Amino acid sequence: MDDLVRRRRSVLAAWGMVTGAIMALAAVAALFLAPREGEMGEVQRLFYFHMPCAWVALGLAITCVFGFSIAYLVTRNLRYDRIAAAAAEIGVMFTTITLITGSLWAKPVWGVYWTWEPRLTTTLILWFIYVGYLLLRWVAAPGHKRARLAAVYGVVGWVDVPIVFLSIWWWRTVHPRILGSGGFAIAGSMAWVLALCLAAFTLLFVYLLVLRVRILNLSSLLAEREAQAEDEGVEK
Amino acid sequence: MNGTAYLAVGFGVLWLIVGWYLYWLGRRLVALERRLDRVDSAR
Amino acid sequence: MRTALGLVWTIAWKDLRCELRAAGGIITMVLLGFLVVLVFSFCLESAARESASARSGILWAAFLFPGLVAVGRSFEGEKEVQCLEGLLLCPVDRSLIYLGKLLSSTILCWGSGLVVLVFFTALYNVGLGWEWPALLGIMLLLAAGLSAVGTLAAAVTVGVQARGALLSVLVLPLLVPLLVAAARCSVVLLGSEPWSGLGLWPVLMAIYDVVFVAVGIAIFEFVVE
Repeated sequence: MDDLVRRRRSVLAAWGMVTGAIMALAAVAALFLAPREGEMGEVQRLFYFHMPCAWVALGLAITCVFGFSIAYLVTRNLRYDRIAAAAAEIGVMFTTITLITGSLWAKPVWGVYWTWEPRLTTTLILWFIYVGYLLLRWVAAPGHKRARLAAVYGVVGWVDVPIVFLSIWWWRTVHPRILGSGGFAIAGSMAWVLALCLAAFTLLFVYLLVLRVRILNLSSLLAEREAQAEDEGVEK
Repeated sequence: MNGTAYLAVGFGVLWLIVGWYLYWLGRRLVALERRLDRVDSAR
Repeated sequence: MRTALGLVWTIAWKDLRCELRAAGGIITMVLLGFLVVLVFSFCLESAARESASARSGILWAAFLFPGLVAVGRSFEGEKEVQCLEGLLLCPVDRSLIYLGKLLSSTILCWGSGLVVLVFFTALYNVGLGWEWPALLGIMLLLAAGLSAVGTLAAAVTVGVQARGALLSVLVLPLLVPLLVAAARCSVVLLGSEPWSGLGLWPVLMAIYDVVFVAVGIAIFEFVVE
């Protein structure tokens, strides 16, 4: 292992420690320091985790999948394909967390775990698109062909998301709205806590992404080296 | 169940999933680096 | 010198002729649609069968099953006898191949949907006035969108394992806007509500179709290089 790899490893560790510290700070702030919301009570504190997870899944991860899919199609560098794959995987995880925390929040506030609210429904459909993307990668053999096909699906899926949201939003305005919007005014100190949580989850996303991409890079490097070693063995 | 219980479950699920993923990533990374070292030293 | 449109039609006609020669595929698709109508009818009580939303659910499910099969068939023949390579060797722009495939599978989906709609009309007393051609129009918009996304997905999944199931899993989430819109339209048409209830839904479907045909044209060359 050369110096470069070693240095990168220490940068990664430092990044992890900073992320961990800020995550802990954000958790303490959200659970204890933020003011108690009058109408919903303690369960409103889930919002400080729910909303940043949604931001990571619906904002950061899918944009990464789209951007790096395009980057792959333009440059044909498999490194970009691996970043898109890692972002999709992390996207599935955060979409799942968003759905679970959203349901847990909806139950005491709206009385049901699920409602066909546009944001909820779009998140669920996005989950299916992400999982479809990963399934496609899973069943195809690794290489440039898989990267190309996955990139195409990544681009198409990204184009679909705003249309899905629009259609569900229209659909809901047609149906009678039984449930309230569940909104609340964000007080000044709440905004600070929310900003801290958003920063913490963004850092966490980057950390996970770098870690996952590193694993994908190393395993393709390993496959390369092993093939090389085999060739050398044959020559001897 | 009251609001605090929902909060606790949500927080727990969040960290269970993220924690498990981090653990899995860490294990994969360590195993991969070890195998790379072995391949390099064999050459 | 043939025009681009002629080339698109040549490719589409080639596929359609293959389908017509081996008519087993088409018959199976149509029967599948009939069976979906039957199965759903057994599941619903007679009062529920009267509601417009239940009936539109049955109609679109009966359209989708054969439609997904039709879309999946669009690259099957090429794979079996290595014709895709031959098709790609043609001195033709790749986007024209996509449009040809899109056209043939739209016609196939729409055609099988038409037969299913006739069967459905007989069983569920659908009005034969202007609602009927309007339903056909909605079906055409749905068939075009399904084919636009489905042709891409079919090309992407050529040769992978469990292809049929994977194709459905890839296509259906993307199709949600179209399905929501089609369901809204058919509830209005089957429930004999005033047509103003259609609103902008057909426009949304048309926009969806245009967007995904454009995306398909732009991106298809990456799929089959």
